[in-house]
Amino acid sequence: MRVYLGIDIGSVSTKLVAMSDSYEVLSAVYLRTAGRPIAALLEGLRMVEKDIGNAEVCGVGTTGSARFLASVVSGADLVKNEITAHAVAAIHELPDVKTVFEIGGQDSKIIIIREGVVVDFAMNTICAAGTGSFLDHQAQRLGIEIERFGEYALKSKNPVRIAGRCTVFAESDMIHKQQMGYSIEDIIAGLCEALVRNYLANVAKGKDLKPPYVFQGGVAANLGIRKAFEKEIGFPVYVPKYFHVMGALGMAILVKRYVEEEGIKTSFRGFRIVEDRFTSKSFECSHCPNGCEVVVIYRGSEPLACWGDRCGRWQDKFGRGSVVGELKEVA
Amino acid sequence: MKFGIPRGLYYEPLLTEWKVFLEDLGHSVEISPPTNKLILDEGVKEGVNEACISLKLSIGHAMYLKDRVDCIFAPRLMNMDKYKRITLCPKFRGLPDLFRVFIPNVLSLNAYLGSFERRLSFYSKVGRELRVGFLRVLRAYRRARLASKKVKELQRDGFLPDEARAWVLGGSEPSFTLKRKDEALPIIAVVGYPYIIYDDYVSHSLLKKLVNMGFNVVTPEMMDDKEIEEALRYLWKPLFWSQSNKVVGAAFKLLRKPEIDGMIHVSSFSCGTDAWVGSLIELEAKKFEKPLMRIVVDEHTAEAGLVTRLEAFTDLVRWRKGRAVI
Repeated sequence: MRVYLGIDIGSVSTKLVAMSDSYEVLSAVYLRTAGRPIAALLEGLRMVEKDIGNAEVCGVGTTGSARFLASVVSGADLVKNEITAHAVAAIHELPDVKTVFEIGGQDSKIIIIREGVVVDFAMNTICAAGTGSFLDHQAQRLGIEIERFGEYALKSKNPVRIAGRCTVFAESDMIHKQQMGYSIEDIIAGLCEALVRNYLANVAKGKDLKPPYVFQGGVAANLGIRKAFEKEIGFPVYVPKYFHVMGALGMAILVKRYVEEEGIKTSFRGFRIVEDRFTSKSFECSHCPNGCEVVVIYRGSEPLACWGDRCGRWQDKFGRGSVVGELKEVA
Repeated sequence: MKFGIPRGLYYEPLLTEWKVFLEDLGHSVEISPPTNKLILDEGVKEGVNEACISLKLSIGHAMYLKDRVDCIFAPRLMNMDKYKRITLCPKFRGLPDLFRVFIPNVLSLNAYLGSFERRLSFYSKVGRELRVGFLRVLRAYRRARLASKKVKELQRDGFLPDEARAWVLGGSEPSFTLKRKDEALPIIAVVGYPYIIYDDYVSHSLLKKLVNMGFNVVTPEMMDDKEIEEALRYLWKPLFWSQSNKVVGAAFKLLRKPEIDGMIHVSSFSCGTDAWVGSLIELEAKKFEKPLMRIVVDEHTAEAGLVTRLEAFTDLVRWRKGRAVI
């Protein structure tokens, strides 16, 4: 069987999807990146291999903030940004989708789609208010498992008003409301509403919101947020079955198209790489006052790729192999 | 005497004009180098916290020059428009005073540069400070204007400001130009203040990145001044600030051109004037259904966020043109 692999490594979570020729999801893996993207990727590959057995991997696509790293380690055929990957997956799930809300661990995006084409998008800029990490933190502070957050929110009859503009204010506001004696359910529901308001006022500011809506990303698991979205926009919000791995699914779809159209053979390094030792080292380049921090990725002692230099002096030469010797010494 | 001209908020063709003028009067001039990390660090350390990155950079650039030159040349830019009521962002007015906090020797005179008479009066004042007669000033002024006009023309042809200046001042022809080579490639307009979009450190070489990604690029500096001025009639009244009018005028004109496939507005975090500029462009882009992305730059050195947005935006532009995303 021909299988396509989509890999999405974000700052908080790592997602892998193995998809068959007939767009059937054979394996969907979701694990925490925990600051170690390479380790998470190898662990994810191990889990995927268990699910798909001996099926032949015909293409690998990577996305997410660690997409270049993941591409070098896995030997990917296609590297794409998260917006495109998420849009492709959403269109695949719901062909007439017009608006995609995506809230992940540390970023949130909105994608506006018309007739199957992305026409506008936005990402949160400097503020991570209302993303998964903040919800995680609040759940921990309240001593509630994050998985049960939504359940609590749904029990609320009278959500309290919480300032969602900024996580710092939201937190102090929540503490204040707790001390005033409001119930945990009402506070959690209030928080969900505040986050949705904040999302719509910042990320979705000025965007042309139209149904049908798709809500994806890890936070879509939270029923409270889902309900708050529906209450705020007045339309049902569709959460796809694989909402938590949509970026990876999008990449699997894209790489399938790519491999088929270009007729190429995959450069996937194979599942055996999980036994290899991948490391990264960085050094400060001393060629100019910019002092760029150059990162080099090694497999064993062999340098695979490098980046981080503004002028491209290391990256450019790397392709021609002329700095490999120098980089070996850094190792 | 050796003068230093700091970059940051000062940009081309003013840098060339001032350099040629002062040199013609027998002084030597050093323009601070393109922004680098040390200059940024210095500017951030000494600068006011709430200011935009370009103001902080101005301070960094001036600090760089401080011990290398006898005097910082820092005209107080008051107006560059034919209408005297059109001014510049107030940061430009305060700039020389900020320099004086750190640097004892700053030559600063009020500069109204919107017409021949006003320019001549400014340069005569500079001449008086430097104790040179009017005829010498006039000669230096003519040469300075000639050089700055050449730089401006080269910028219109798509040459980058630093390279254009080097060429005009006797260097060789630059190899890189933004000028369209392949008509079939999609065109992305990049609008924003020249001290932001042409500062490779601040903008993370956005213009070059777009060219490398296979796009044609248009900037306000590559347009005719008349064209930009005419486009201002689409506003019910022009803005108060010269540079903002240039950006808005250019954007409004470009949004009306069918061959433009998308627009990127590059803005500096905490830029006050861009609160207006950004919203005006946004509304107009919506009217003409052109893809628009706003990129806000600040001190951060990681360019991952910028690259992701740029890739997504270029995908969108190609997708809308009916090309597959892969």
